[in-house]
Amino acid sequence: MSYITYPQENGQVAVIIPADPSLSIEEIAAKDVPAGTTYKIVDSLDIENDYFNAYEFHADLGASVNITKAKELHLNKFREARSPKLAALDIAYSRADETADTAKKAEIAAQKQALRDVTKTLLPDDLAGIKATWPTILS
Amino acid sequence: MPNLALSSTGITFPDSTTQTTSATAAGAIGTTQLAANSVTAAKLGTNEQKQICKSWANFNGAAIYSGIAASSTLVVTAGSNQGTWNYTAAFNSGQVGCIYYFNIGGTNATLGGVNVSTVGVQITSFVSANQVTFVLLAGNATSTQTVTGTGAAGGYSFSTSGIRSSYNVSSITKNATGDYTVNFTNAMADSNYSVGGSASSIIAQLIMSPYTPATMTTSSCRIYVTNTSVGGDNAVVCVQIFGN
Repeated sequence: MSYITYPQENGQVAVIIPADPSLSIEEIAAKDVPAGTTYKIVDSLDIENDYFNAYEFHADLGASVNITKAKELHLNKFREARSPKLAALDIAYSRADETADTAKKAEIAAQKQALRDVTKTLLPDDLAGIKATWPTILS
Repeated sequence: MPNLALSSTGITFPDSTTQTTSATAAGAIGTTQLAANSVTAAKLGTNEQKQICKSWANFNGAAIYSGIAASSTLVVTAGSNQGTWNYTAAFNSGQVGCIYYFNIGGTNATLGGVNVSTVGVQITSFVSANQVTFVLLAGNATSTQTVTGTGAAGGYSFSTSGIRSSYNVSSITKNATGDYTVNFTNAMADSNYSVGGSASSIIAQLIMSPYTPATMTTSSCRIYVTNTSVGGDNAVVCVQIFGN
């Protein structure tokens, strides 16, 4: 099947997925692509759906990934994964504080700092490498 | 089969005689039995027309996908429209109902004699991450065939719309994760229609809503699926439009 892609004002690609078999792909493009917008009809589309918001319009391929945006999306996954871990450590820290367990408090503080630092992780410059990068502290 | 001309007042036959409908009151359903021709005609009133869903779609928000199926097999048996697709760790339950198109061997688009390049197959069950079953959408296979995908040259490519079924939908535009525009084949009478919908609960606290009033037009409706503030793609997204 074919897809239609076009650039949006925010820089992201939009992908039109045909649904009505009575219409040709050209008819759908004429009807559903915003007027005056450049578009591309492609027979296949290589998009990693989890990183859809990192893709931009490409005149030949239809869409291509912006690695900088993909890295930022991946760091957001880090932030999402660390959030409940930080919350749990906050509770553990409070309990250690109540018992004046200084050593435990220092240990937890170090763990929290390590979680904060996950967003400093250096990510590779290819999408497969980015996807494969996952700090053990978040597992 | 004679040619019948339909109009708002009735049916005109080839001999120019006209049989009018029997609607007697505004909003009533008018039904006429034309015994000699065994034709039943029904005309909906204004209220009945408003009760009809003008457009709907069921799709997988995460399914924009095409690729080369390496190290996998497609199997169909002659006389059956059923088949299996084996592909290591490639499947999830969200694919059930989705339609896939195959291009086998790059040029030969048939599977067991059935064209699956333009007609496609519909996934019928999720067996495991390694296997799904499907039904051929263009009838039974005429020959038993097993296709082994071994890569770009000797394998087969596939693509999916993610759209399981729809009515009066020309296409669905994916604008961003969880952000879609449903484009209507035939325009709505006005933009004051009602949008209903649901999305599967894989993502917690899911909300599906029209994007903004300005994006509800007679030709399309933009919707947003979100868990609080972040858009989410869900395996099942359903949209219905009711209006004038």
